[in-house]
Amino acid sequence: MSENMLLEIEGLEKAYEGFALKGLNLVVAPETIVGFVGANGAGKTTTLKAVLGIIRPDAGSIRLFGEEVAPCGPNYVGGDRFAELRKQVGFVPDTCAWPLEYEVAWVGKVCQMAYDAWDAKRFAQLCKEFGLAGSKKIQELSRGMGMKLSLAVALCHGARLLVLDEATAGLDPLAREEMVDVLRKTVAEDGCGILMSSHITSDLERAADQVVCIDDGRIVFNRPVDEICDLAGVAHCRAAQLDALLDSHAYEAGELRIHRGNYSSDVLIPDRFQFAEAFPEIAVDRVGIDEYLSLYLKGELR
Amino acid sequence: MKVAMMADFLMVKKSLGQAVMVGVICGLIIGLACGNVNIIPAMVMFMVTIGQYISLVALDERNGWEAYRNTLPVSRKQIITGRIVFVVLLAIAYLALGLVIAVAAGLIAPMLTDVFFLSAGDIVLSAEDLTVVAFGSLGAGLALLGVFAPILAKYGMTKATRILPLVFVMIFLLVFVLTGGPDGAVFGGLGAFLDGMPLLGVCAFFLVAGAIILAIGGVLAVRFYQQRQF
Repeated sequence: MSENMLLEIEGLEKAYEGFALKGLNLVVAPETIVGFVGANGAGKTTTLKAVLGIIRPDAGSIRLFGEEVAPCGPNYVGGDRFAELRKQVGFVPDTCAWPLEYEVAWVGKVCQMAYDAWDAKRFAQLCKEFGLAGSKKIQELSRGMGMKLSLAVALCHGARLLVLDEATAGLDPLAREEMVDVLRKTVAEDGCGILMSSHITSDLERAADQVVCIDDGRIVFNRPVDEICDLAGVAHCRAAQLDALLDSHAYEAGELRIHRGNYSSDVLIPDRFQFAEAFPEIAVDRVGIDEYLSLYLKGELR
Repeated sequence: MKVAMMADFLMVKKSLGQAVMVGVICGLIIGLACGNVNIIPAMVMFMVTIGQYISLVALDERNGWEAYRNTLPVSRKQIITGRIVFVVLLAIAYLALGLVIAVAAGLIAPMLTDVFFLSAGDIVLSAEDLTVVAFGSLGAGLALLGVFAPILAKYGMTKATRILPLVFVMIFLLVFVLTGGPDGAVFGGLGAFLDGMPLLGVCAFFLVAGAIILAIGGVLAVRFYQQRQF
């Protein structure tokens, strides 16, 4: 554990009926964007809720900016210190959760009182850029506009850690691109870190430095995006080629993931350049996070 | 705590005027119909204040606000105490408004005799009665809030609506049946005790009793809310 880490989760556990987070470890460093992916119900939102103090973990440790924040056990008290640390955390949920009776300007008023470092000027500027009139009611905002309001709030109080839960869902492609650019700029200029759960893996390919995959409550992989998109690959093998590949023992157990189709098989390869040199007769392509995820989770492990 | 109070105020800001109007109209009608304008402050205060607290808890459950609010830099203790303080301030404000309405009604009512259900001599405006009613109703309001707040904090509005009627029945049983009712020894003794006190003492008694119940309820509400998960 490093004093410099913005968020450190160690051994996090949380059980519900029919689901449990088990021994989850995750770290967010400054100036990094960590993508958090997984199937629906895998445990992404549960993890984020534990980080934010909305739920109480059963076991494990969560350190925000070097401070332990989530005492476990039956006598959890959502205390003042945790609330104080949240001044440095910006959260963007998957829907705009401000009261429907509010106007956009009122959100600014509440935030002005809540955050010591609230930048009212920047908030006004972002609202203008995002097309959010101060007198507009929350209930009149479209889903995308609500997301933009939530993002504006998260970006205007000097947060060191941004936590985004499906924040780009519901945005049109142009707005998503704009939001991703804003996030990258924020990380570069303000040095903050971002933990971003998303199903839209193209956004993560553009923005994230690290991808963490959770499945059935467990972390299954934690890799740099470069390793996935620029190094890994998918080999398209016919039956005979697959047999030859497996018989070659070029890869150790657990290195390959195989998805067998009717006519050919796709094999997830850790280094497509090495593979291409070793097996020039087998077609191998670059792999995106989507495909990597699919092969990793559904592929047969060899 | 100021953040929580501001957040609550903004949630009900636009409906406050309407709520006050409803409370004033109902208070006036009931007070005039009963021939006793001295109860108007109590009607206004109870209807609007308890209604607002319950409204706030109900509004929490819309749109995911309650969970999101707990991600802001506001502790759960501040949320609950802020809400209680906000509603107590509303109660005092509405009580003051109710007093003004009661005095106005008491002055105007004799001019309206033989109109509708009014007849001469029915309406009696009494400064002493008004004072006792004001402090008595404020004390009772604080006590009621002290009973509601922990239940609403623990269960939220949706589940609490199933429990609150039972709580009302239990309070009724406790206050009116187990104590022997208004003619029983407990009430008789309390009445005798209060009769022997000066007006200020009676007012202080109601206020302190209500405040103690609210304080206990507030502490419980904070504890329950701190353990909730969203």
